[in-house]
Amino acid sequence: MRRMLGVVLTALLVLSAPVWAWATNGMNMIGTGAVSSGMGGADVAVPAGCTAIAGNPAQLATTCNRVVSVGGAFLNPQMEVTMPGQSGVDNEFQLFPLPFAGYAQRIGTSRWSVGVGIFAQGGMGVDFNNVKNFMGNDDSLYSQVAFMRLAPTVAYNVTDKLTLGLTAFAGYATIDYDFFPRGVQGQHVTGLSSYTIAGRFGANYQINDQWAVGATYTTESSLDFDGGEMRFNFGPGLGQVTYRDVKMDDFTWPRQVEVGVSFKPGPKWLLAFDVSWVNWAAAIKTVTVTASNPNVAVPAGYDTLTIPFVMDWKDQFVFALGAQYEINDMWTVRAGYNYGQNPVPDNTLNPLFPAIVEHHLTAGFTFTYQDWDFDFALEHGFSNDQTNNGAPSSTNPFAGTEVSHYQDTVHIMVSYRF
Amino acid sequence: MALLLLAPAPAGAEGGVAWLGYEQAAELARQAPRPIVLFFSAPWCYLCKKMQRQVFSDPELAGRMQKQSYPVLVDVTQEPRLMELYEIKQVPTTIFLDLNGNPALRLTGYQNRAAMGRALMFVTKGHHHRMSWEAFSSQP
Repeated sequence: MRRMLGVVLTALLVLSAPVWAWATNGMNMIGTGAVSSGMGGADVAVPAGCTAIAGNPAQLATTCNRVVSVGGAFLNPQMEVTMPGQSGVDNEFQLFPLPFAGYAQRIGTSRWSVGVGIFAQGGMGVDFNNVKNFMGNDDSLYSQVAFMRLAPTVAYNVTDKLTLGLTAFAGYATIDYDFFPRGVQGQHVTGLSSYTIAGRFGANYQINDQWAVGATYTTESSLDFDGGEMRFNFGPGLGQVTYRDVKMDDFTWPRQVEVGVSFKPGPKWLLAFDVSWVNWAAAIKTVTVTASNPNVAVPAGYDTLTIPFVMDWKDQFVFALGAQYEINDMWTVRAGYNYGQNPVPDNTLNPLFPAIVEHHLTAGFTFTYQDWDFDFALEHGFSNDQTNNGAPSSTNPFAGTEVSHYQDTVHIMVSYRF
Repeated sequence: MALLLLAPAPAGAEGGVAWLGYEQAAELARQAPRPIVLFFSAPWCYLCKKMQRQVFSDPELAGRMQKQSYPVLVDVTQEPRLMELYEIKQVPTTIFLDLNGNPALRLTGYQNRAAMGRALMFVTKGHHHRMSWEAFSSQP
């Protein structure tokens, strides 16, 4: 069963590759789908179609018949890293596709709705070339963290006002990174992957025709990466040694609590506000890479390498505010704002994993033609700068390094009701 | 006198469509034949409520519906007999009955104001005798 699940997820990942994301609330996207993203990610108490699979599963109950949605996002991050005593280096051009595909339907005239979807939960990645390494030579910093989820979902109308939903997440994550591979102690790591399961419970309560409240709870996804390979640079003498068994421990996708409210001040308006708490502090502490099974004989003590990445991320609060206005039967416009506290501490900032963007503005629209919806949204993550102010040490090699980052994302989606 | 008691609310009321009961509409249709519009809904149905809010609340459409037809709101949780009779598999479903009480058009899912207005014309003007709904609705 696990093998079959792995094959399915791997196939979907390959079909949608590359899906590496620079995500924006920590490592999470601010929203999935052009509707949610167009409202700044404020979607917990907002009716949704298929994208409820990636949001509040209780909102799946707003699907009355059958709907299929296909789309995704294209994300363009702009980053700069400045090592101490050096000039800044921009990242290479990157445009990451983040796919979404889902199907949902009401079971007849019953109170049950079901759906299934696959989507990019988030991730991050950098690609800096010609950065001076600790030896003063041109080198590179590169990382790709990707996390896809396959999500069967069910929702049930308990009463006319109360709806509950449940999503089971089968996840597949991958990590590759380069840490100054041309310098001494440099690392080139590929092929780390992990399967994981998690769940999300959601509720929505329609207080009256104007007000609704919702909430979700998402369990953490423990990721045990293995199956990787590392080329470690010992410098003069041993030179490059390839370790054929590499794993990464203590990298977890965090649990999360979201509450939201929506308000309809008039028949054409919808306002929404969400607050989320993301438990990064329990999820991302010290991530340890262990490499063993070298391809050549190495001196005693080098059979197994243990490399800690001290990250100690902080818990994060995310605030999302969105508005929607229905111009007529065919056009609906949206706007939103999203603020997510930077979870990366100043003293552990690592340019390989700098998820530091905080402020986002979004705008979007839906064009409806007969049974088709065409959704579009633009998202801008404003520039944020951060400097590692920790003391230099073997576990904090980037002391004094500054990172700045902003990004633009285009979301598109097509939905068909039948 | 009986007809007066059974008469629907005035056309174009600001409050939208004034729904009738099924038996009430059937009786009215026997007295003064008009098509019957059956709107099948459920209390938990989001798109049904959206249609109530955005489509049937429109004064112009509501006026036309009440002037040209007998609109009936059917709660499938309260009317299992009608749900079975009209083979309702999902809500919202809107069925237009012709002057003989036979289904002339069945629309499933959310319908916007334009589609509902066109469907009303399709049945009340007798277009359903001459062409399919697909052909009619695709006309400019």
